[in-house]
Amino acid sequence: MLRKRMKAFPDFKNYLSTLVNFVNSGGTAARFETWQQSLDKLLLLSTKNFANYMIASNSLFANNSLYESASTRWFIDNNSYTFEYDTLPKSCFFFNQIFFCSSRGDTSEIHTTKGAFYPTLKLFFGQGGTVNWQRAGFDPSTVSAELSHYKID
Amino acid sequence: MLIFCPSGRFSASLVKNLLDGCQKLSAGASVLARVLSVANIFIPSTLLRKSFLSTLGFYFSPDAIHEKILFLLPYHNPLPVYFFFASSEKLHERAKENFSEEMQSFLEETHEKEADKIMPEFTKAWTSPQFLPAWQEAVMRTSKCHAAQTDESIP
Repeated sequence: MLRKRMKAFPDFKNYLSTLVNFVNSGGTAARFETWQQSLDKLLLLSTKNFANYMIASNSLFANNSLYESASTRWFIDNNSYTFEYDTLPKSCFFFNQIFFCSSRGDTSEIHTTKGAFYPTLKLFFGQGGTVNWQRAGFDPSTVSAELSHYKID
Repeated sequence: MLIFCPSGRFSASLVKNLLDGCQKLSAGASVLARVLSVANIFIPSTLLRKSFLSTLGFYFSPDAIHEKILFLLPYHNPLPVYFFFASSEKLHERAKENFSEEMQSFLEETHEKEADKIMPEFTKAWTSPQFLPAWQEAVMRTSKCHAAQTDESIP
């Protein structure tokens, strides 16, 4: 390895960190296999795709986050997702998930939704779901919004 | 594929028996071995030297062995066949240890403090039973591919 030119930081550090989080999150052999298949395909593309995918995978394994920045975090309430490769790698989230967005101390929720997240594009394509304003004092049975298809970037 | 045969002549029946009894080999490898067994290949005498055998472990990582399928097939003597399978496990153990040590050295060269943060966590996960051998081989393979396509040492 040392004979070849490698980028130690952040690429390898992120890779190792992702592996640690994968093991700590109780990742299964099936999940590792599908994740690895995506990595194998990404290695044929530019390193930028690999780097972005690793950052996204690390957040996903660490705390079920799809996106994290200093002020905002999108995350789901459980780790029931799968990895697939559809021209680009994606993570699929099944129905009945609660999708959270935490931003500057406030949290929004999308209930009973599903979708696919493309880590290399940093895009989430959602399907179905309900948004309510219960925390603002509005009864969900009277004030709510039904989502059909939505995109978060 | 590397074939070691002290008699100098490849034994098709010996290969067939070995392949039939070896569930670890993939179908593709079996087909390749059968094709070669028909070819009646002669092995250069240099390959028979002990020094060559003792250094094989340094030239072939476990994943390389799985890809290229290394056979040690002495004519009418099955012992080195067992040696090969035992060696494969040892080689995997050695490669596994080497990977962790090399990774530590490599990261320390660039950023010692950061390396000291990540490596204890990684080593703990890497040596845990949850980290399956197949995963370890995939990680070692990916690291090599990743290393080969990366140009910069740091941002």
